[in-house]
Amino acid sequence: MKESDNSDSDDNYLIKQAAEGNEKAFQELIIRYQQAVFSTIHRYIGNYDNVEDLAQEIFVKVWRNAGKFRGKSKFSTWLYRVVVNHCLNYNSKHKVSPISLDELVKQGHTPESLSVQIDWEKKQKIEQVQKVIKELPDRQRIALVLAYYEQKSHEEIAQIMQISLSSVHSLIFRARCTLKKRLKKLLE
Amino acid sequence: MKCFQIQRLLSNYLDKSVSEQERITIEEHLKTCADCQREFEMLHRLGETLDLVGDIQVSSDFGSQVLNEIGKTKVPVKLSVPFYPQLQRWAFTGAAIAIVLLTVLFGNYVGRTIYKEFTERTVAQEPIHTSIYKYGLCFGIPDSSFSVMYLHLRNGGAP
Repeated sequence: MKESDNSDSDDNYLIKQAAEGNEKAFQELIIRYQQAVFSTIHRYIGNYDNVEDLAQEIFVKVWRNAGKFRGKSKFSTWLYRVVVNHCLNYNSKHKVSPISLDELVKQGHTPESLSVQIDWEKKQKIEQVQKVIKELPDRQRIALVLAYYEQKSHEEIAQIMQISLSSVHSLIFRARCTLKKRLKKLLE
Repeated sequence: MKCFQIQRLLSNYLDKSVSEQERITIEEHLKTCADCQREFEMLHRLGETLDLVGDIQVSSDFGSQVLNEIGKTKVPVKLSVPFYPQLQRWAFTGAAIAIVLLTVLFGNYVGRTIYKEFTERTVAQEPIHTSIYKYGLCFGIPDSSFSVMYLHLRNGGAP
């Protein structure tokens, strides 16, 4: 989600139009940001099952509150704030850990039936990484997802999470330390 | 900078969240310190490992699903000034206008009353404040204040 100044002003225009009830303008915003919203949710909650439902809830929330966007920050920052708050709320209500491949196999699924490609070992690595990310404390995890996967600057993460810049540095540093320790075998 | 300080900054360095001076210091340090180099490589590999978690594909009809859903919901919240501050603004403006009008009307009334009293006073020879009471005003203007001054001026400075 790399934005230029032009796309920022476009976003502002579109969200104002959406606030007036213009569904086409809102659809354009959905197209622009759906991938980023899906990816952030997926990497944060650590499973595929509820991503679409959550993304839908988030966009409906954005539509309902479009009139509250004052343009003080970039639209994308405001949107990510909605995503982060929604994910944190979701996580506090549903402490669901990702289903391991072993469990799925026990339930009668084969790697093929799960559309898992030949690289079983790679899948296991992915699962391990997802599990370790999932075990990070909520705020460390969301800061890491925004910094690493969404390529957000620490300044923007501070705005999104409404915390200080030094807190962002600290959250990401601690997240990396934890990941490094827990994924030591994969990293060697 | 010492190694632990450099290693503390490596996370920010990877995210391009260091100052120019810090960047130069880190890069100079990495050229000569094997420990910090190892730490940097480890963090770099961690990044590659995190890359294993790929992107999720958005379903092609996701946008339509959202639009269907918002069709069932209320219209977006209109951006408007809340009622209470609006009311406060109107009340303030109204009060200011009322004060100006009252001042003009009241001043006019007092002036006219005083003038009228002086024109009648030459015949009646009554103290001014008594006459003003007679016209229904709720306060008296003592002889020693501007009623005397007015009389003084009206009589061309004569006592």
